[in-house]
Amino acid sequence: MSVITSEINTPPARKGADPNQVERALIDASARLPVLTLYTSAVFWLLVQTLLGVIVAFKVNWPGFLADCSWLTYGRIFPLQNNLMLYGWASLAGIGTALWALARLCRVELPRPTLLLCGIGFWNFALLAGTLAILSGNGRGFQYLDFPGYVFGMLFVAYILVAAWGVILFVNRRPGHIYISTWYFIAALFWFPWLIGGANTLIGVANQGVFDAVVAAWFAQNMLSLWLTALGLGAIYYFIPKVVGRPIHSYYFASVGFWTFAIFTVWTGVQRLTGGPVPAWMVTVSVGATILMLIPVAMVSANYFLTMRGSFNLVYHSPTLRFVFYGAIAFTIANLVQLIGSFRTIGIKTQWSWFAVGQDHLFAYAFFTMVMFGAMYYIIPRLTGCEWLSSTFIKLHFWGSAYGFGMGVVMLLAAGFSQGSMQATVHQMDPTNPQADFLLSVFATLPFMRGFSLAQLLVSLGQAIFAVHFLLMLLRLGRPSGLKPTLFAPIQEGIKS
Amino acid sequence: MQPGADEIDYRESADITKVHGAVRREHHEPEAGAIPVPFWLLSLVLLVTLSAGFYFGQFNGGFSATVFNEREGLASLGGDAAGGEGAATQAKVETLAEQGAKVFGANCASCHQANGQGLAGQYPPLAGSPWVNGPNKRVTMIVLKGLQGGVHGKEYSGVMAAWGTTLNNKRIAAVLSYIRSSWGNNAPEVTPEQVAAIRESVADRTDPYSEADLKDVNEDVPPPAPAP
Amino acid sequence: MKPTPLLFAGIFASFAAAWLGLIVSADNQIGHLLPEVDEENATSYPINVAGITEQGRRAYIANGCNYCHTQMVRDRQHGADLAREWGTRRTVPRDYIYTNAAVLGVMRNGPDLSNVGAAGKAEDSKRKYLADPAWHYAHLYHPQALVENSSMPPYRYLFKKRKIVGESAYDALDLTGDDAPEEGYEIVPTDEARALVAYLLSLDRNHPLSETAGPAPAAAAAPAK
Repeated sequence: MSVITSEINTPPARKGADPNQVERALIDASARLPVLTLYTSAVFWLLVQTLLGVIVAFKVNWPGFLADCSWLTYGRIFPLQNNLMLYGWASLAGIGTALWALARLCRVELPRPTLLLCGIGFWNFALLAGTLAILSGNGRGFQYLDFPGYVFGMLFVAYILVAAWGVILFVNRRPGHIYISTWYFIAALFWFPWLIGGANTLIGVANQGVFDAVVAAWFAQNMLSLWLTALGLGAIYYFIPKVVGRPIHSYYFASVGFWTFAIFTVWTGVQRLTGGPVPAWMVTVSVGATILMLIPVAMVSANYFLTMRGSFNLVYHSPTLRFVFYGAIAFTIANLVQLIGSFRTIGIKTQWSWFAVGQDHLFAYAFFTMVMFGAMYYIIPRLTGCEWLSSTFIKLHFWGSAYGFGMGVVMLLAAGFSQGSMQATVHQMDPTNPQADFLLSVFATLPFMRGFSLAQLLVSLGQAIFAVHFLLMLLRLGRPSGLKPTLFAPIQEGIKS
Repeated sequence: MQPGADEIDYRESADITKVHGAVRREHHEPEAGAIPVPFWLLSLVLLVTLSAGFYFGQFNGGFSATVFNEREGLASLGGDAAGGEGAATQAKVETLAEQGAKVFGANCASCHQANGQGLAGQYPPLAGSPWVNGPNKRVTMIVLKGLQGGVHGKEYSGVMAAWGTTLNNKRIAAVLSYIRSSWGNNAPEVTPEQVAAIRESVADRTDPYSEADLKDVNEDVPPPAPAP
Repeated sequence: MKPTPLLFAGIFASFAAAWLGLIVSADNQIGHLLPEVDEENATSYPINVAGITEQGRRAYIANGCNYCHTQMVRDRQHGADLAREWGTRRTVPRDYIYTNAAVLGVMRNGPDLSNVGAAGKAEDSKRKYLADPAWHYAHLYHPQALVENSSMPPYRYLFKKRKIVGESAYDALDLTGDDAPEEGYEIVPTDEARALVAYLLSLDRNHPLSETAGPAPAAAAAPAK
C-alpha cells in the first residue's frame, strides 16, 4: 500500500540542471569569504584538537609521556581537547555549513561580510585565550565548560556577530515553503546562545554544589545532542536528497521527527549522574527522555534510508554522499548506544568510564564530523571555483577517518564497559595490597586503549591529508571546474555532486 | 587582472559560461514527499511512549528531593495493601509493621534486598530465617550491635553495622515487626519497650556479635504488662 | 498561523519547558540547601573550607584531577563504592553545598576521593595509608613507585629540588632508587602540592545526615562496610 501511495504523493524527481543557476552562483559568491574563513578556522582547530587527541591517547598508555611540564599534564590536555573539538572545529564547521545552506535554501545572498569576519576573528581570539587559560591552570573543571567565564562572554559576542546573519537570511527569505533543513539550522542557531548563556550564568553565580553539577551534565549532553545534532541533521536533510537527486521520503516523518527531537532532547543529560548525589527523579526524567528520543531517531533514520533506497550505489562514487551517509548511520547508532548506556542496570557499569567518552565520540566524530566533511567536500568547490585535486586524497581521508573514528569508538566503548564491569564488584580485598582491586579495572582498559591510540593515529593521518588538500583548494590549486566533480570512481550519468 | 580562459573571476561576471561548473550540474534543492507515517512506525512510537511512561512511573521516587535511590519508593510500598492509597494511609494510624516497612526500605533493603533474600555470600536472607522467626531477644541484639561472620553454615562477607546507635527503640521495634511478618515470616511483633529492655541488658557490649555468641541465646523477652 | 512565528514559538516553548521542568525544579530542590546543625554539640556539617584547603581545591581543579577521579559515593544498588570503603554512606546533595561542583568529576580512571581524609579514622580500615601526607607527596611525585602499574601521571612539577642546608626539610620526600636526587639535595613539595594534599586530607563526607541513615562514624568499634 505504501508503494502505491508513494507513487501518488511523491513529486517526480526532476532531472536536469536547475534554471536558477545564476542566482545560486551569486549566492555562492556572497558566501565565499565568510564561509571559507569559517572553514579555515575550523580546519585549523581540527588539526590542533587531533594532535591533542593523539597526546591524550599516548598519555593514557604511557602516563609519564610529557608529564613533567604543568602545561602538558593530562588533566589539562584532556579538557582542552574536548573544548577545542566542540567550540573550535565542530561549532565553526557547523556554522559555516549552516550559513551556506541557509543562504541557498532561503535564496538570499549573505550581506556584507565585514561584521561576520570580525565575529570569526573574535571567536578565534576567544579560543586562543581559552587555550592559554586552561593550559595555565585556570580552567573551571566542568566538562565542555572549562574555559573561564570571560572566554564564554567573548564567544557569546562573537556568536551573535556570526550567527545573527543566519537568522537575518531566514527572515528575509524568498516566499515559498520552508525546507526541512532550514528548521534544523534555525533551531540550532537559537539553541546555542541559550545553552551557553544559561549554563554559564548559572554556574558563574554562587550556586550550590550539586545544582551546578546538574546544570553542567545537562549542558554537556545538550551541546552534543541538541546543538551538534541539529546542525548535523540539517546537513543530512540537505545533502542526501540533493546528491541523490530525489526528494526526501516524507515530510510527515521529518515533521514528527523534528518536533519530538526539539521537545525531548532538552530533558536529557542528568543520566550522566546516575547513582550520584542527585534526586532520583531527575535521572529518571532524563532516562525517560532518552527512551522517547527513539521516536525522532526512528523518523530521521527511516527518512534518510528510504530517500536513498535505490541509489545506494552512489555511495561508491560521491565523496559527499559517502561521508554524509556514514555520518547518518553513525547518528542512529550513537542514539541507540546512548539509550543502552542510560538504563541503570547497564549505566552503572558504563558511566564514569571510557564508555561515556566513546558515546561522546560517536556523536561528535563518527556522526557530526563525518557529516561536516561531506558538506565541505560539496560546498568548497562551489566557493573556490575549482574541483578537488585528487580523489586519492579524498579516499585516504575517508578511510583514515572511517576506520579511525569507527575503531576509536569501538575501543572506547569496550574499554569503558570492561572498566565499569570490573569496578562494579569487589574482586579481591588483599590487605597487603589495598589498591589491587581497583587496578584490575585499569588493567582491563589497557589493551583497548592501545587500540585507541592506533585509531587516533589513523585519524590524524586522514585529517592531515585533508588539511593539505583543503589548503590546495584555498590556493585555487584544484582541477579546473567543469561539468565533472571529483569522484571516487567515474559514473556514466546521474551523479550530480 | 583580466580573467583568462581558464581563470574564473568569481565576483564580477554572472555570465553562465564562466560560472562555476558545479552549480550548473546541481540538482534542485531538496523537496519532500508527502508519504504519511505508516502503521508500523506509529506502533513503534506508541510502544516507545508507553515504555518511557512505564519507566517514569516506576522510578520517579515521588519527585522528592531526598529520594536518591530510584528503588527506595518501591520498597516502602511493599507493605501497603492496595496501591494508590499512599495519601490515605497518612491519616490512619499505622501498625508497627507498616512503619517498619519504611525503616526497612531506607536502611536495610540495600543489603538484605527488598524481597528479604539477601545476596549469596554477602548478606544473609531474612525470609524464612530461623533467627528472625524465633525468640525476639537474639534478633534484637543483632540489630542493636551488628553481626559479622557466617551464619547457619554459610559464609557472608558483609558485616552488619550496629544500628543501635542510629535507630531509636521505636524504629528498631518497627523494623523487627516488619521483617517478622513479611515474606512468609510469621512471628509476633516486637514493641519498643521490649527493645528498650534488651538494649539495657546488652549495654556493655561494644563489638558486633558472631554466630558463636548468639547460638545459645534463646530467650524471648515478654511483652510489657498492659497498663493498669 | 504563519509558519515562521509557529517555528520560533515551538522552538522557544520546547526549550523553556525543559528549562523550567528540569533546571528550575533542580534549583528549587537542591539549589538552596542548608547545613545540618547540631545544637547540642555545637557542630554543623558540612563546613566551608578556607585557607590552604581552599587553595588545595583550586589546585585540584587547576590540574584536572576531576577528569580521572570522582568525589561521589554511590549506594550499594548502584555500585561497589561502599564495599570498597570509599565511604561509610552514599553522598547526597547536602554534602556539596560549600564545594565547587567541578570536583564531582566525570570519570573513574582512579579511585573515588570523597573520603580520603576519613580513610585512616576507622580502626580496621584498609585505607589507613591515605591519612599520611608523606604517602600523598610520594604518590604525586611518582605514582608508579607506590602503586605499581598505576595509570596516574607523575606530578613532578609540583615539587622542587633543593640543596640541603643544615637539616633537611620536615616534609622532604623520602625517595629511593632512580627517583632519589643526588647527594646533598632533597625534593620538597611546593606550596601548591602542600595545599593539594591538605585539601585531600580534609575530604570527609561520612558525617551522618538525616536523609541518609548511615551509622555514626568512628562510633564504637563497629567497622563500617
